Amino acid sequence: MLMSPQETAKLIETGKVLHIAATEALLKKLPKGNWIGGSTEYFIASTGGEVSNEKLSVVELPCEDFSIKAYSAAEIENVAIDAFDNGFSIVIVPFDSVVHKEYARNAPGYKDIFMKNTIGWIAGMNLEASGQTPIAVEGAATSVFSDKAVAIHLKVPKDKNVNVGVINIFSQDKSSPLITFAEEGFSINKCFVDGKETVFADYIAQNKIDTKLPLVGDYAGNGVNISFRSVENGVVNLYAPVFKNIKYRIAKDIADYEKEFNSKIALLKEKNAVFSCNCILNFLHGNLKGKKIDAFFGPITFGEIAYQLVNQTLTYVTVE
Amino acid sequence: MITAQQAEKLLKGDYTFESLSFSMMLMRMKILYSEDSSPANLQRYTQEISTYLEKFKFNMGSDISTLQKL
Repeated sequence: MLMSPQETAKLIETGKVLHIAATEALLKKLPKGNWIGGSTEYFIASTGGEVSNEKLSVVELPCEDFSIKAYSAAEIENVAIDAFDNGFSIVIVPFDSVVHKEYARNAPGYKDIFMKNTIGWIAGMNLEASGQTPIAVEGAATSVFSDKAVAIHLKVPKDKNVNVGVINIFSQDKSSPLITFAEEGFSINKCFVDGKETVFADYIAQNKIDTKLPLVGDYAGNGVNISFRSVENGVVNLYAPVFKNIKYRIAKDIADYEKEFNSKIALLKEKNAVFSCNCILNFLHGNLKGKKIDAFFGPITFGEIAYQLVNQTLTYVTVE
Repeated sequence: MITAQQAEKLLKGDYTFESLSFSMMLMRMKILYSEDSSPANLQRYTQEISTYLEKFKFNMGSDISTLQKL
């Protein structure tokens, strides 16, 4: 729900456990309390996609116990170890920080990462305003970090079932070539296109690939998106790293993002997400400002976490 | 609980699953197992998959029947 700073401060003072997304400036003015926060100026509200530096997205988190902790790049590998066995964790990571890159590259190898319900997002800034810094905030001490992630670990009753899910409107275009990589990372020179070594930037240029569409990796039947950031000087820069031995293809084109999201959401109507977030690239490429998405309201983010980093995806967690 | 033989089929085969976390975990293991398919690693991944299934089997729907057919 979007709230004013005054309404948010009042709610914090009641002692409720909260997740808050708002601009860096608004987050820094909030009182101490049981909350974590991350910076963004973009939201999916019940009224539609919205850009606001006056409102905050506030979600009350259900739990019977919780802990909040900040993690440096050296500490983030422990994030799932610190999580409750029966519960979930929300992790907020500042965009382009060392901890962002560390998590993106190595989260799949963190101890217990797939054994605990881990969701989260990459905090950002207004793309048209200068002087903003992506931040994550530990509300208990109102500590503000541009170089650390902040996680809230929530314990839920044993009779509750937690599920982390994604809504991915993209799927592999099976008519396009298979793309694999011998090198891992955010910046790529070469790839293999149907097994033939190719300069990735040349492949994109020569085949007029629409870089608004992500690469979709095949994870045993689940699509995991990697978004294009730029192609510069023969190097393809990505918003998440590609991995060796994953089979990627360019995504099928999306004619209408709003329609596509709403048709996927209709299939999940009975789901009552306690937290969800959606990608800034869906917001921008799908022109979602002012458009009504039927459910899964929350921040628009600069990368999403569903166990590991994913892109151009709506992620959510349910507790039922 | 799965056997080492079933785990090896998973690690070498092209199975598909609905569970996102299981799929991600399996792909991670497949990559590592392709680099080192020692008996010790097979034992380790068999144990990890069994531990995962013990915790999440109630939430895996049709994936369980895929696993039962291994």
